[in-house]
Amino acid sequence: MQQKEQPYRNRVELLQGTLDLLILQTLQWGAQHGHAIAQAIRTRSGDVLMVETGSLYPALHRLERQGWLASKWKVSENNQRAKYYALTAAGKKQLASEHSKWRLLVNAMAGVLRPAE
Amino acid sequence: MAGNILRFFVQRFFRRDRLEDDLHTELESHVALETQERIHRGESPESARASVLREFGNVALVSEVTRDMWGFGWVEEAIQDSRYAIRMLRKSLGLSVTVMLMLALGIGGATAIFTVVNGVLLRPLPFPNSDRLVTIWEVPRKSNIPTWWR
Repeated sequence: MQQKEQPYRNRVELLQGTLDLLILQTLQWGAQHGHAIAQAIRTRSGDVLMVETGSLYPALHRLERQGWLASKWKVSENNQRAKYYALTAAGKKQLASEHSKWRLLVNAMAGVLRPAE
Repeated sequence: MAGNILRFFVQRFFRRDRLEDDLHTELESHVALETQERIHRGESPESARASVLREFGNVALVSEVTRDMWGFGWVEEAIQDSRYAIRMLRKSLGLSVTVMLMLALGIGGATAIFTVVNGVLLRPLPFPNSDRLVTIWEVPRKSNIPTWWR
């Protein structure tokens, strides 16, 4: 019920394309199922980024189709059968390129937002 | 690379019933994991499951958007459209057969005529310098063939 008292006040809308980067980055530390990916993104962003299932699963399936992720059914530590996603070699390459794209965007935004002197 | 992607696509297309089951199980396991977690945090099982489902949103919609990512949409639509077309043709069988016969005769006739025209008139003869070919024949020395013919 904690969720109810604290509505999505601090939620930030994900920029187009950043979800891919977040997923690829999260899977860098090993294979995970969708639920754990969403949890990891949420925790690591300090509860700011909450990925909705309606965006997460389409993204996972899209990334898999693009060959950046591979999936496998496994039993989780609490005995629940779940679909685990892992980075492929192409996925690792994609992660690196998304990283540099992101850095470019951050620098560009910083440049624009810099107060005029 | 492109070939691999195509093979992946085709393989998955023929196993899309299994993909459908997989997706169902995948979303189901997401709900189960989240519910377990909430129970672990001290919620009652019923209210945990209810709030997970509420937070999850429209399961059918999530599945549909995810399914769209497989990229079979257009293939399935094409199959549906052809089925519809066949049904419609069967509905007015007489008209369909007549139209098909007319098309067959028309196309067949035109093709036959063109084949002849192409072979006889349009294509050059299959020899080098075919424009220098002459016809030679014998004529009896004395005959009553008129001179203009000779």
